[in-house]
Amino acid sequence: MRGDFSIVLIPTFACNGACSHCFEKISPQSVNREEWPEYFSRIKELANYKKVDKLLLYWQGGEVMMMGARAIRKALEVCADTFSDDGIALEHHLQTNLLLYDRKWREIIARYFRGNISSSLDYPNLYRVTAGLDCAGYVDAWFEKKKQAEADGFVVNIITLPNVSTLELGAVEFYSYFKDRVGVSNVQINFPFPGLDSEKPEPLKLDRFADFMEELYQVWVDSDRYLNLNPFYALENRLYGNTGRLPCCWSYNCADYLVAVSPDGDIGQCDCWVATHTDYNFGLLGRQPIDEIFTSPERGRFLNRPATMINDPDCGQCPYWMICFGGCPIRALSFTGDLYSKDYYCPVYKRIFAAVIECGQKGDRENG
Amino acid sequence: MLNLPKNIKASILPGQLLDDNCGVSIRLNQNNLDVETAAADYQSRLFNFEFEDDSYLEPGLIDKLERRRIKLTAGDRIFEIGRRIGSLRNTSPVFTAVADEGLLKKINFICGFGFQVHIDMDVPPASVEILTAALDFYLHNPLLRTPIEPFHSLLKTVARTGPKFTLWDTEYEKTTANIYVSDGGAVSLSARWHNNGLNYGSLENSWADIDTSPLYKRLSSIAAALFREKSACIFCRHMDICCGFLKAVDKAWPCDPWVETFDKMRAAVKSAQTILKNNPGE
Repeated sequence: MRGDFSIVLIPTFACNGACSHCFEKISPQSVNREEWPEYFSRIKELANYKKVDKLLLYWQGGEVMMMGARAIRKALEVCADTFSDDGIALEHHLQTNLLLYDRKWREIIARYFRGNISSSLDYPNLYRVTAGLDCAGYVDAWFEKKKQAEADGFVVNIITLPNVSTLELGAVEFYSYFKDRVGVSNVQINFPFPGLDSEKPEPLKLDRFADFMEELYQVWVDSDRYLNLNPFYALENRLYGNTGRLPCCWSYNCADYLVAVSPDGDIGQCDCWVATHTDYNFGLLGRQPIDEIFTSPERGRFLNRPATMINDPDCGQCPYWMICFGGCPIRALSFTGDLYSKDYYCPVYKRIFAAVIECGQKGDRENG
Repeated sequence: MLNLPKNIKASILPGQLLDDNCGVSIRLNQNNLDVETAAADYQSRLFNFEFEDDSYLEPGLIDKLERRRIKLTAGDRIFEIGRRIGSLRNTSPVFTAVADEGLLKKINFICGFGFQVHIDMDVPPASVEILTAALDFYLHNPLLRTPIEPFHSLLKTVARTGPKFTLWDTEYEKTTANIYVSDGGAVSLSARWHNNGLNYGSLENSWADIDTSPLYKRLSSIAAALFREKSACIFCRHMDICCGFLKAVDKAWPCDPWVETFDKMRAAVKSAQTILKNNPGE
């Protein structure tokens, strides 16, 4: 079958950040300049094995910009050359903390990333720091770089992790911050989970978080959906327009269409797994045949998860199964230690789904 | 040669009725999974494949069924379809599920992929609660995008919003459209009739023999036959949608769970119609 396949490319685990809530194991490990041809020929093998029309490559780290613009340009050129002869369309996406952005990145982002940058910003910032910047300094530096990137003509999109102070500030303040102060169009709320050896982020109380998300949804609706605020935007599109793709945490099985590749070719389910939960990795690109990696028992654990979750007494009877499928495996494992448990945020998701559905039903009535 | 009319869809095993003109629904099972030969033998006469067991989960088999209509049993291994989902999406599958303890879970799982589910009417439901939970899911789950039969068709009859269907239509037991040929060559209306020794005839007969057989004539005008025979079904409040289907083969067949479920379906329709009547703009 032909279709899309996504790869979270992690060319480096090096990072200029020292964020206390990071789930990644930061290290200097990176793909060397001379390794790019081999690296991408392996990625191409993988794409051919999956028989894809289109490969979505999500460049993440660590911090990609730590490798330098010249190295990344070279990598992108090698990637383009490698795939030039077999009809697989490439779509590059960039995730960066922006702090190292300068004009050297301008041509690269315009040419390969279609002028789009995905970055992270929390409100308030409790955890994001560097060796030289505290939380407040980090935010100031980020705003400076964001301004620079926008002046260069780029669109900056935000991924944000709510924290305990976010919930205290409330949905109105949170929404207003991104809409008016940050001034971006696309914001995606991710659901935080603890790293392997980290006590951060401080867990959110589920009922409070659910209240917050429900209120935020209403604030968003009342603002005429001014921002493309996810997961709400994707959820409404899916439920009422039957279009688009839901966030990966609500896909039937992320193992069907996504892997992450570390600098040394380790393949895991996604960036949340590949460096930190290495015993769950599928194999090593270039050292094993691709089919061995894709039929590995480790990948099988992920592929079997929804079929296992449907037998969970809650999931099997749940009216939202068709858009949740037991939720995200990392958010199950991180909180319970069990891959085959429900996503920790299940009660929050249910409240979100109910709010979106109720709003849609009300809207249908209002529209006759 | 039987020489069935073209409008008949015959449920057959591979190799049967090769020289006929009728449409065919080919039954496959672990003893014969040669879909390529079957497709080549029947070409445009092939309407769909029906799997009698879980053998469709054999690796690579669904890949061979691309663009085909397929009827699949939702047995104990149904949750393995997640591993075949890419291939299944290239087909038009309908899953038949028995009304047992796992029904709702199976419906939830199958409909999660956007596939259709058909509740198996041949097997008595394990309880009324199982059926009403399935009906409730069909009526009220806001995420559901696919039909669950027989509710979906019968609801149109009850609500008078579309063509009038009975269980004889939804269960592919229309004398004018359906024929079943057993592995031994007996010709009947469906598997349940054949399994109870009720056949029209055999492959040795002609169509003229079949359509003048006592069973065929009775089933062709089943409502009249029920009145003539003073069947209890004619007094049933669901005669319009069941028309004696559930007890047709076995008069002792326990139809109470379905009767109760149909009651709830009618109540839901009435309630919806009342809401709409009182709110005409909606």
